[in-house]
Amino acid sequence: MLETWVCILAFRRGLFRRLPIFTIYLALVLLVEVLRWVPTLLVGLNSPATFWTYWGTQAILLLARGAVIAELCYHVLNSYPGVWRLCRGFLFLLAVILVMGAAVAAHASSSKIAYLILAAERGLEITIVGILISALAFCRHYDLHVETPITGLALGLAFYSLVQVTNNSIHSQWLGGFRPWWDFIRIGSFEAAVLIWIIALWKPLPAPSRAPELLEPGVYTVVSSEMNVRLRELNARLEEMLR
Amino acid sequence: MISSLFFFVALSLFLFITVVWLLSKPLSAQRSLQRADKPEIESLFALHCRHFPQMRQALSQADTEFLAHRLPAGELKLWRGERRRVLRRFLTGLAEDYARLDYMARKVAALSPAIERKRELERLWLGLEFRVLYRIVLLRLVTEGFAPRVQLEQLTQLLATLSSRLEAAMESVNAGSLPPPIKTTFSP
Repeated sequence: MLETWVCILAFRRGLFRRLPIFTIYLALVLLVEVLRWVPTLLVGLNSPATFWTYWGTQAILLLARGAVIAELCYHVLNSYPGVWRLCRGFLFLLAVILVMGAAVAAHASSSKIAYLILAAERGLEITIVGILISALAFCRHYDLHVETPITGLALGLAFYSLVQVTNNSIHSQWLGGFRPWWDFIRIGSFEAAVLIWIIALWKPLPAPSRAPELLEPGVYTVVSSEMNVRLRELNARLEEMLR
Repeated sequence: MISSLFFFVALSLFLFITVVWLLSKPLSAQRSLQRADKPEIESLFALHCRHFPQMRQALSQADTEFLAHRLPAGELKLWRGERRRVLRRFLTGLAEDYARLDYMARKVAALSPAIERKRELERLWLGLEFRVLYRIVLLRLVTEGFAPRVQLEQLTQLLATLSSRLEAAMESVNAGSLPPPIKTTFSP
């Protein structure tokens, strides 16, 4: 129900013009919901077909969320080409390191397929949040404006990913007994994330902000070199004061 | 296994708080700059360091010696406390001057078509160093009442020089001619 509502809202607000991948992700969530019911109704809830359909579609959604994060980073930072060039390499490297960490953690976990999947999913969710936080840290450091709807979408994504990390950690500790709670928390946290997105998209989107007027290339070189030299001298004076 | 559980739960909580903090409203020190659509360029340069001549009088040892022979011990103590408070406010003002200049440097970087990783890392490192050293100096002032006049004067002059050089650089930009950059090497 909520997923349908947010999907309709996203199209009504024209979100596909600004964040096409996120809009596709919302439509994909709806499609996956329908798809998951097919083996459940045909073969039953506890069948291997249901199991692999669920986790196969979950992997697709996870990859789609990764693409959404990349789109959000590009949308927020692309208007500032200097900052974007500086941070995109860092974000890519961070993503590679975190994904490799997730693979190692999954490999080191129990040989049971359930533990393996939980560990892998937890690692990939940490990757998603790690990239999001790093991009937001760059925005904070350079005082870049992030539109309110975008902050809402980012918050929903981060909230869902972090709850999954916690949920999977608890579930891998007490696999069988925790299962009903794991399902409840998983579904509940996604509904909460969707609710955050609905709130973010409730009002019409603000007009696209104009790309900022960039400075001449030489200004940065002069200002930054001056700043660094004087900062070094400032720190030297402070150290002298402490001797 | 329990320890890894606690680790991931604590990590998730920490990361969520970080996300909320990053998305939340700007710091109060920055709000006054962001309130205006285009903050006055003058508000981004150092202000407090221009008042050092008045501070020089407050740091004068001659005043202390003069008053030590004329005031009762209690009143002398009050006077010293007040002087320390004034000095502390001035040091806080210097930190605000640094924050303004740092903010301007970051905005210039944000609006530049290309920025250098080395310079940005260097400024980040030097900024962190400044914050740590400044806080230690402030702590010593509060606990020991120490106020090395010469070093404080040098510190103030450095900030004033940085501010005027940046002012000159921005004016040169407007005039269409840039001063030559200073070469730096980064070694943390």
